[in-house]
This record gives sequence, C-alpha cells and structure tokens, in this order.
Amino acid sequence: MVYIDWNLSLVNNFAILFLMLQLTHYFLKEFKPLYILTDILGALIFAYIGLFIDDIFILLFVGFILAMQLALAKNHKLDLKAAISLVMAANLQLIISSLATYIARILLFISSGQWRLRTLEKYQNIFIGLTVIVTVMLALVFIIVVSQFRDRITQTRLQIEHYHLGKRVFMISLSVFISLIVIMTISDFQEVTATIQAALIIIFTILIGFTYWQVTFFIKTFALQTEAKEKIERNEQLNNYLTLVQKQYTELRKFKHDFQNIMLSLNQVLEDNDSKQLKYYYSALLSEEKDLNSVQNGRITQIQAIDNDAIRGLLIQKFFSAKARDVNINFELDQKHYKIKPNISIVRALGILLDNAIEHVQNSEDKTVTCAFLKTGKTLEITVDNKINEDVNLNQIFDCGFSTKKNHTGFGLTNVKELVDHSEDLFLDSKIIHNHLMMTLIVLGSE
Amino acid sequence: MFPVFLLEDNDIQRQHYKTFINNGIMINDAPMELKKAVATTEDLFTDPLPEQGLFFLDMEINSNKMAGLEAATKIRHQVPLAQIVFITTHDELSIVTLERRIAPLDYILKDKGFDDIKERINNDIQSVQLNIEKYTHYSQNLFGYKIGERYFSIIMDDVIMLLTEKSAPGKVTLIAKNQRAEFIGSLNALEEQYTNLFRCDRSYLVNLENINSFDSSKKELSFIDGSTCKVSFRKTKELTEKIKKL
Repeated sequence: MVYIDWNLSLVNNFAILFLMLQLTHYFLKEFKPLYILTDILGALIFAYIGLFIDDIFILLFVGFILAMQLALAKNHKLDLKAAISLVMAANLQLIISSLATYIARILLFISSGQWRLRTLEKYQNIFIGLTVIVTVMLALVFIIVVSQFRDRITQTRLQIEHYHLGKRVFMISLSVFISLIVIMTISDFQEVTATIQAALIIIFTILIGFTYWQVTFFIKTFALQTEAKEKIERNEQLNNYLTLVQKQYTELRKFKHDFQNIMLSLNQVLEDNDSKQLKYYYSALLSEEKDLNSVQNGRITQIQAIDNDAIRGLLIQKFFSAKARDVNINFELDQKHYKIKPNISIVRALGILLDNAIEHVQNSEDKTVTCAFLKTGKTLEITVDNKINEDVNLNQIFDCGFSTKKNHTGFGLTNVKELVDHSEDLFLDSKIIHNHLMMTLIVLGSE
Repeated sequence: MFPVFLLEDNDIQRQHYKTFINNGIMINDAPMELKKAVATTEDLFTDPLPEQGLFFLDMEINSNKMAGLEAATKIRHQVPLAQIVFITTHDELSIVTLERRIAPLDYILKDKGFDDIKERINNDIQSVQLNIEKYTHYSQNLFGYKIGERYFSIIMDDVIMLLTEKSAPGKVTLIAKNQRAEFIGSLNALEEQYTNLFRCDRSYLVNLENINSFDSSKKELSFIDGSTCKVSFRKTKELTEKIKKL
C-alpha cells in the first residue's frame, strides 16, 4: 500500500466526483452556472467523507444523488434518463480514474527509473497531480470519441424510451457499478497488490464493455421484434382496407360498364331522333364518362409509395383513428417512390403533429387534415396542414405546456422540438397562412 | 406601373379574364397594368421578367396538367416576390404541396362560374395594391436561408428575430410574422450578411423595425408578435441610441 497525505487524496477524490458530475451533465446536455456551485459543494463534502471509507464513498455519493432525485421528483418516481446517465458516468469515471492511476504510476516509474512503491510516496505531490491530469485527459478523449457516435447514441436512447426499457438498462448499469465498487473495496481491504488489482479492473472493464454492447444488442433485437409484431398488425389493417377499396372499385367498374352500355343504346336512339336538346345532354354525359375513368381507387392506397415501414404504418394507423373521429386525412404525394431512412425521431414527431392536427379539427366544421410529402433532390418535406379558426400565436405554441385546448397538457410540440433539436438532419418549419396552420418536418438525406 | 401577367390557353376564357383584370385595375384605381395575356408558357418568358409582378396562371395548358406549376416554379425562381394566382378547374388540387412549392397568393376555381372568378380577381388586385409599396421597397431586401437543397426567402419586413439555443447546437431559429423556422447557420455570419439586423445579445439577432417596446430596467425587448428577448449589458447603450433614431 502507498500512504498518501490526506489533503492530496482529498484533491484526488474531489477530482473523481467532480468529473463524474460533469460527465453526467454531458450525457444529459445540461450545463447551468448553478450546477458548478452545487457540484463543487457536493464533491467536496463526499471527497472528505472518502478520506475515511475508501472507495465506497463513490457508491455513497451516487446513492445520495439518486435519493435526492427521488425525493425531489414530483411523484417520487426516478427520472430514468438522469439516473442512467449518472450511473453510466460513475462507471466510466471509476474506470478512467483507475486507468489514470496506473498510467501516472508507470510514468513516474519511468521518469525516476525506480520501479518501487517507495518512489510514489516520495513524489506523491507529482503522483496525485499527474493522476488528476491524466484523468481529465482521458475523460476528454472519451468525450471526443463518443461525440463521433452521438447520432447513434441518441437513436439508442430514443429506442430505450420508446420501448420502455429504461428500468432494465438502469438495473444493469447499477449492478455493474456496484460490482465494480465491491471489487475495488475488497482488493483495498485485502491489500491486494496493485498488479492484481489492475488485472481485475482490466478484466472488469472488458466485461463492462461487453455488457453495454450486449445491452445495445438486446435493445436492437427488442426493437426489431416489436416492429415485426406491429408490422403484422398494420399489414392486416391495410389489407382489410385495400380489400374494401378493391370491392368498391369493382362495383364502380360494373357501373361504368353498365353506363357505357346504356350510352351505346342511347346513341342508337339518337340517330333516329333529331332533338337538339337530347343531343346536347348526350354529349354532356359523354364528357362525364372521361371523369369516371379518372376516379382514383382510394387516396390512402397511394401511401404505398412511402418506402419506410414505420412511417407508412403510422400514417395508416392515424388515417383509421382519424376516420373513427370523423376526420379525413388527405394525402398529397407527388412521387411514386419515397425512400426514407429509418429514423425513430421522424416517426415520433410526425405522430405528434398528426395527433395535434386531428385533435384540432375534430370539433370544427372542416374536418380535414392534409399530409403532404414533397421532395426536392434529397430533401424531403412532410407537411401536416389543418385549418385554424382562432388566432394562434406561433411562438406561444412552442412554450412548454401551452395548448389551445383547456384540460390538455400540450407537451406535444415541445417534444417535437426536442426531437428535432437532437438530430442534425431534421428541421421544423411552422407557418400560418390563409388561416391554415402548416407544420413541416424537413428531412435531409433521403433518397 | 406594377405589371400583371395572364397565362390561359382557352381563347374565350382568356378574353374574359383580360376584361376582369382590366376592370379590376380600373375600379380600384390601382397603379398596375396588364402587360401580357398569353396562351403558352413560352410566350410568357419571351422577355425577361420584371423584378415584381402579379401572375394569373391557368394550371392546365394545352393538356399539360403541370404546365402552370412549371411556369410558377420558373417565375418564383426568377422573381422571388412574385404574386402568383392559380386559376384552375382541377378541384383535387394538391393545395398543401402547391403552398410549399410556390406559396401562391390565391387559388381561383373555374367551376364556380365567371362571376366568382371576377370577384376573386378583383380581390387579388386589391390585396396586391395594398402591398405594392412593401414589395417595391423590399424587392431588394429579402432574408434567405437554405435547408438541404431547398432555398427559402422571406421579406425582411417580416423577420422579427434570429436566435440560437443551447439545445440545438449549430441551428439558428428564425422567428417571423406567422412563421417559425430553423436552419443551419451562425449568428455571427448572419450579422455580417444582414447589417440591418441588431445583435442585442450573444444568442439574439433582432430586427429593430419590429420592436414594440424596450424595458430598460429588465433589459428586455418585446416585439409586435409578443415575443421577447434579452439585451446584454454591453449593448444597452447602443440599442437606446438606435431606438431613438427609429
């Protein structure tokens, strides 16, 4: 064991806790000036406690923050997003600071040329300083590496939320964290040599890596499974509808056939008759026939052009749920093929926009919602349009909790904004024109 | 004189609309003139288009159902502030798509009869007349932004403010009269490009033409649409001077 002066280990403990909190903020993308103050205070208190109880203080600290979150939450339910971020940050910080300790140790050995623990005690000022610096540097390297995968991480996070997997992921990270602490504490207690502890921690790090990899794999599988199940249901609904449309279309064709027959026989009658009026009506009817030819076999069937199961499924589902509320969704598609990259944010944002529009028109006279897909090169615009009767202040509707309806929470648009903010290739454009509210989701990079 | 254009392939209808337009200009005593009444798209583009104009376009020209739309796209490209009115029989119009692509001033449906068309043409002339000064003044002064392959422009007069939010790094939010949009950009670059806009805070670039009031104790600017923004301490003096000049 290396004996370190108490104020130096206070600095080390403080650095560990403070960095851990900063990592948590980074995961949550929440930085406020006030946080720095509370972070410093909390980290100082627990760093002091850490002087007496070794590595367990990190566990205590995490437990304390979780307990605080639980106590401060409105319905005493844990905010899983915050909790997972904290535990993940704690795991990372543990690994990073252990690694940093070893790196600092090796650096010191090399520079002094003496491979003895004594050296560490002799130069403990430098040793601790070096450890802290290496810790910060490792954390920075980690952040730089992770920011390359930001999109993928956001997608995974959204999937966790979408499929309500938060609790499981939290439990997994928490148990990994506790085991890590247990290993470190026991090895300290038993005065295991540094080499063995290093080996233990390296093995454990690999295990953690595997666990997280396994978790993302599990989430993916789960998502695929759920999607497949939803797809079957959607296809069933669509097939039922298409059969119905087909039936109506057949009836229409039958009528057209009869109509043509009647017209033919009428033609015969006309030849034997020279009433001008009759001839006029006949020609009028003839021109109607053209229109009959252009009767479209169901507007909803055109959404087959959308080459994205989740979005098509959502549109079909909303089309029917709107129908049930007497609202008609009118689709405008000007292309035969829309390839849209799978992106859960689009599905969620579009779902909210459609829900808002349907809800808005269902009590008004004009119960129509229009959903248009417009493509310019690789830029896709999905517009949801509905008529509005009262004056709506566009900037107000983006405020959290604002809703044009009483007894309604109105968090929808805030969620859309958050989803759009989080992705680099989504943009939201809202416009009020000719008494219509047009909400457009612009998606970049669809082919 | 503010030029008016008409594109309609049917001779009888074109004759009718010509009369309606000329009458509309006369009744309203509008400073406009019907410059061209043509039957084909090619004829419309024989001469270069002016910087502004009111265009009445038939959607279907010589059985090409997209002709009107194609012409409108071309007009919009050359004359960003053009006022475009579609006259069409096709009632299954994709209105939202048209709105996004062209943002026309109006749609007139032919099936409602000549009286209705006459009235609508008259209304459109009136509404353009009301804004003629605005179009002339702002024809050079547009705010433009790009998202992917789409280029959007709005009249500078409609811009209220541009802002950045920490939650959306790299994106700029545009708040305008009746519109809110976002695009990739930086306030520093925009401040340089549009010198009429005032940087009142690190994350706000505002159009002082549209302010309602300035609360100097709260350091808060409020705008005609009810939105507000903070003013940084450093900029307060410069702002009060600018407001005095307005």
